[in-house]
Amino acid sequence: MTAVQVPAPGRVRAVIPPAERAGVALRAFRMSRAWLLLGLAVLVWEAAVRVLDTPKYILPAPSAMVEAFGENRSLFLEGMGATTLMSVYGFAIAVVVGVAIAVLMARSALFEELVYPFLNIVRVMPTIAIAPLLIIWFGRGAVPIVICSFLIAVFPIIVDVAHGLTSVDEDLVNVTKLANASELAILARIRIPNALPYLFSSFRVAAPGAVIGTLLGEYIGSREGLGYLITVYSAQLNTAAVFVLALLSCLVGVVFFNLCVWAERFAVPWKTVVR
Amino acid sequence: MSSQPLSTTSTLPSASSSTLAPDPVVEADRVRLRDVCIVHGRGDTAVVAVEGVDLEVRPREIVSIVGHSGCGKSTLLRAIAGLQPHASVQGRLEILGMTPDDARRSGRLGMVFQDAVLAPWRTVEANVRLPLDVARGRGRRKPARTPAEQLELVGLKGYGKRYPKQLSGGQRQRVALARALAMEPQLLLMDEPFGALDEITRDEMHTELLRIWGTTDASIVLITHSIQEAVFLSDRIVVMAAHPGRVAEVVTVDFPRPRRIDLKDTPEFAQIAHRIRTSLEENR
Repeated sequence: MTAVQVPAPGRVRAVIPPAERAGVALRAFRMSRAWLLLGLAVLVWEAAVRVLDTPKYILPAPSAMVEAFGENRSLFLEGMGATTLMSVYGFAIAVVVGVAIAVLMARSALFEELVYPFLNIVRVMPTIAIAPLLIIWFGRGAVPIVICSFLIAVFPIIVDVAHGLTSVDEDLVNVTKLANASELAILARIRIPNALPYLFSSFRVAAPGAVIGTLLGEYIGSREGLGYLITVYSAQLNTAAVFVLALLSCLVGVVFFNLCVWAERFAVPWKTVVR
Repeated sequence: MSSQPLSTTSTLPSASSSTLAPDPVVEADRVRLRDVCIVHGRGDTAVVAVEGVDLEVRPREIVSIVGHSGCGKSTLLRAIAGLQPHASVQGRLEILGMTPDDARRSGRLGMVFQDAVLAPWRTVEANVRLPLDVARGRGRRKPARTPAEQLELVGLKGYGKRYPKQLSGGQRQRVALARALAMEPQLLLMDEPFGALDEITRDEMHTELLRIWGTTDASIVLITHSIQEAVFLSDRIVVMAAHPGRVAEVVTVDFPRPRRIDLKDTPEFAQIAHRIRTSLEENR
């Protein structure tokens, strides 16, 4: 066998590309460009409304919205607080009940066989159809609102967590069985940790869903909250105020969503470790 | 107690290859299978996976099982571990002198699979500790080596705090081995443990496995698709035929231990490998 001659080391050296150097201004621009675009859109909107002289009740200018918010600030913020609180209740109950149902479904084939069809019926039933019933049963108040919020948030949690509990590698379970592990230990040490990332990914759907459910409940029968205020101001054709309320609803949803994403990083650290 | 081996009814060649210091007391076989049949399903759709298998595995012996895909090797290995809850396992199976289920519950069996199957949420050291964390009843015991020491043994000192996804395939398989050894098994079952590794890593793992095995009391039953692997590691090689799975031939490999990697380049090694290959060819 003959070996190919390899060039002696040190003859050629690799050129290391210089580090990228962006100025402070450029970096600031890159970080904020999404917001700049948003600001630009608002300016265009304002200008278009003024130039075209659109009726205020069809499309209010951004400045009119700021004004509407200023006039009703405490009322709107109070409504936002009520909506947030109802959403937190609905979401929290959805997490507890959803995880419990998912665990029962994953642990018992009989439970899944008997209960799953009913769950599916409730799931496909539009919440907006159930909401008036809830108000008949529970009256106007927090209970029907929290139930609406719960109903929208709970199903993604059940489906994802049940999937997470059952999608464990059987051989990992076998490893624990070789140590004579109990079913409870397998649930606590293997199935539940395995389902944790699934739980958090379900939150991405369930958390904004809880806010939507709350708004729906308030919309149909309530004396407070953003959903209720929307019905009041749209009846008065105060479009600017309706826009503000819609934006505040968005804000609640966005905050909820981002809190969940943020919590995921702490609860599921092994998903985010880098090589 | 006489010094007669307990496996006097064995139809397999007796152990002439053991080069290790003989035990003062002759221990019972770690595995004793007689007329073992395994059937999947029932009625018209039933499939006979394994039929009429006899097999003995002695203390500190390494036995490989080779055979074409679908010859029931994995099925047999899982039956030994009592991990075939849905199959009908017939015949006499004595694992560490117990039924497979009792052997499994005794915590004296370790198992390594083709994939490392580590828990991604546990650090490397916590993965090795997993069997100790969940052990219960007879399975509970305090092993002489801590998980950290077990990791050091498999050459992963200092990796304990990492997560599995930060390791290479070969390193993950080392963790799986450390975890299988965490309870100090008397019988280590390996189902194509190096099948997913590249050839260079696999060669390295062969010598590593022998080194690690040398520090334990375990017998090993190893399923493999690699003839080289079987010949290099084993005291005996069981060639299985398929449809239904049965033992076609048992080949004794009496290279002295410790074995070095260059054993693979000797003519004697090639000769045995050739014999296994021929046997596999005849038992397609």
